[in-house]
Amino acid sequence: MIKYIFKRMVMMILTLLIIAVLVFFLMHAIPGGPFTAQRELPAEVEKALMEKYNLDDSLPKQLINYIGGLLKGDLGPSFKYPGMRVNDFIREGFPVSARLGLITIIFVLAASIPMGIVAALKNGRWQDVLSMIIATIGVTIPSFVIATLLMYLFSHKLGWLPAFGFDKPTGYILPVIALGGYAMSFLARLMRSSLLEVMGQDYIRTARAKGLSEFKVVVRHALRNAMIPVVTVLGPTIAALLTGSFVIEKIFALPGMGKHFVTSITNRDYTTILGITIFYATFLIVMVFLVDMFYLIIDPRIKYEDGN
Amino acid sequence: MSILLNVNDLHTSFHTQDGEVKAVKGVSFHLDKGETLGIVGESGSGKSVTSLSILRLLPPAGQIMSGDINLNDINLVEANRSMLREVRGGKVAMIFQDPMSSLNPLIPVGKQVEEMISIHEKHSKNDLKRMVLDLFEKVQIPDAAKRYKSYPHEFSGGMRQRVMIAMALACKPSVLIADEPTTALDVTIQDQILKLLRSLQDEMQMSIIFISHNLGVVAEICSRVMVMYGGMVMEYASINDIFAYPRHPYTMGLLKSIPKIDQDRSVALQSIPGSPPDMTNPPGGCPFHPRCQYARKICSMEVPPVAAVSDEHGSRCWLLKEDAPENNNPFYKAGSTK
Repeated sequence: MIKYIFKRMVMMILTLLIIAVLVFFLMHAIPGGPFTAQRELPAEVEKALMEKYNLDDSLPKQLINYIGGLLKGDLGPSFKYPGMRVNDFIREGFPVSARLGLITIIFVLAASIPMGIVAALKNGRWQDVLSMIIATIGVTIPSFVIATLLMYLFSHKLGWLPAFGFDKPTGYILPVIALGGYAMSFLARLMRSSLLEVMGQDYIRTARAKGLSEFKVVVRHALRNAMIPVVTVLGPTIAALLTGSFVIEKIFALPGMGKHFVTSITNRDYTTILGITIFYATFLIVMVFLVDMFYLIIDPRIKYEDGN
Repeated sequence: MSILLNVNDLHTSFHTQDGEVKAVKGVSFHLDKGETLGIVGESGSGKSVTSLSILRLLPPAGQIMSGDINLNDINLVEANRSMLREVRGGKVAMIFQDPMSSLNPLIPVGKQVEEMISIHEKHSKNDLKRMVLDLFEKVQIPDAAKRYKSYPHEFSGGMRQRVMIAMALACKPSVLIADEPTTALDVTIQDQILKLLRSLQDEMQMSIIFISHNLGVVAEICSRVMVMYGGMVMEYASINDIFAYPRHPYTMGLLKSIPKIDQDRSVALQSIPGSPPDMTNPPGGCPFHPRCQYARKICSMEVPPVAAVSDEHGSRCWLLKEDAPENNNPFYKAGSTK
C-alpha cells in the first residue's frame, strides 16, 4: 500500500512535468508575445525587455530555466504586471476563490444529494419532476445567464442582495448559486440515477426480505452503494470550484484567481499561463488521488496492489 | 399435517407501458408444516412472481390484484407494514437465485447475517456474533471466525449461497422460500447446497417452497410439485405421481426433456417446440395450447378447469374431461393415479 502511494506520487510529479512542457510549447506556438501591443514598442525597448526576462534565449534553455525555478517553487515574474510574481497572483487570488469555492461545495453537496435522493425515492411523482426541472435548468442554462438573472432580480429589482464584492456575508449568496448551479444540477441527476439503479438491485430486495423498514433499507444498504459514482466526479468538481471561475469572478467583481485563467492567455503572459495551469493541474491531480484513496474506505472491493 | 401457508386464487399483475400484464392468474396452493413444495416452470411462468407476492416483495410496478395469502392466521395481502416486517425474515425467509448480487457488496457477510437477527430479536453484541458464527458452522462455512469479516466478493458462488442460507435461517423461520437457489451454481455445488437444505430442514422443522425450472433438482428435495405455465398452475401432484403419471401435456414435455444417463445418444434430446407465451399478449384459452400437440378447438377458447385425478393430483387440461375424444388423447380413460 505504501509502495503504491509512493508510485502514485512519482506518477503525479511526472504528469505535472509533462503538462508543464506541453503548455510551454503550446503557448509559444501562439503568435504574438507578451510585449506585442497595438502601439508597437521601439525595437531597442523590446530587445531590452526580451533580454531582461531571458526571452531571447532558445526555447529549450528557457524551459530548463523555468523548470529549475518551478522545482524551487518559484513560478517566475509576470511579464505584464511589472514587479508582480505569479506566486503573488496565486497567494492573493486563491484564498478568495477557495473561500467562495468551499462555500459553493458545501451548498452543492447539501442541495444536490438530498435532491437526488428524494427524486429517486419519489420516482415519477411531483417531487421527482420538480427536482429534475430545477436540475435540467441548472445543467442547460450557462452560469453567466443565471448570474445575470439573479443579479437583476435580487440586487436590482428587489435590492435584497449586493450585486458585487464580499463586503457583506450576503455577498456570497448570488455567486455561490451561480457558480454551483451546474455542479449541483449535475450531481443531483447523477445521485438520482445512481440511487434508482441501486434500488433495483437484488441486495435491496434481500434487505427488504429481512424485514427492514424502507428507511433503513435506503440508509443502510442503498445510499453507500449509490454514492460511489458521485464520489468519482466529486474530485474534479471540487478542484474546479476551489480554483475559481473567470466568468463568475468577472460578473461579481471578485478578486479571485479565476480571471488569470483567461487574461494571462490573451496577454501572452507566459509565466502566468504556465503558473496558473500548473497550479490547477496540481490541484486536480491531488483531488483525483484523494478520491482514489477515498474509494478504499467506501468500497471494500477496491484494493490497490503493490504490483511488481 | 396442518396447513401453514395457504394461497387462494392469487392474481398478480404488472402495470407496464403496454398496459396490465397478468403474471399470475388464479394460483392456489397450500403448504403443510415441514413439507417441501416444488414450483416448476420456465422463465415467465409466474413462479417467482408467486413467491415474491407471498412476502409482498414485488417491484414497484407489480401489484396483487386479488386473492388471499394466509400464513397461519395472518392475512399477508392485507397485513400492514409493521406486521409484514415481522413476517419477512422472521416467519418467512427467502433465498434468491444469484447469490452474488443478493448480498450487499459493501458490508461484511457476518454483519449482514447479524443484521437479520437484530431486526427480529434483541441480543447483546457478543451474543449476536456468537450466533452468526454458529450459523456459519451450521451451513458449513469453513473457518467461520475468519470469514465473518470477509466481503461477498471474497467468496465463491457456493459459499455466498451458504451465507444467504445462514441469513435466511437466522431467525428460525417456519417457511423458507428458495427461488432457484441452485440455478447459478455448478452441478457439484448444486448438490451440496441441496443436501445442506435438506439436512437443515430436518433439523429445524421448517417448510420449504422450492422454485426451480429443473424437475431433476425438484425431484431430489420436494415431496409435492406444482407445475406452472403462463401464470397458471397446470398440474400439481406428489413428486412420484408427477414422474410416474403426468396428466398434462406440458408436464409430459418437461419430463421428456430431462436427459437420462442411460439414454440412446444417437437420438436427440426432446424439447417442447415453440417458446413461452408473450405475457403482454397471452394466447386465449389454455396458455399452453399454441405449443400443445394435442390441442383442440376448445383449448384456444376457454381456460380448462382443474380436473381432479386423485385427492392430491389435479391438472388443468381439456383432455381430462369425461367427454374428451379418444383420438390423439394420451390420457383417454387413463383413470386415477391411485
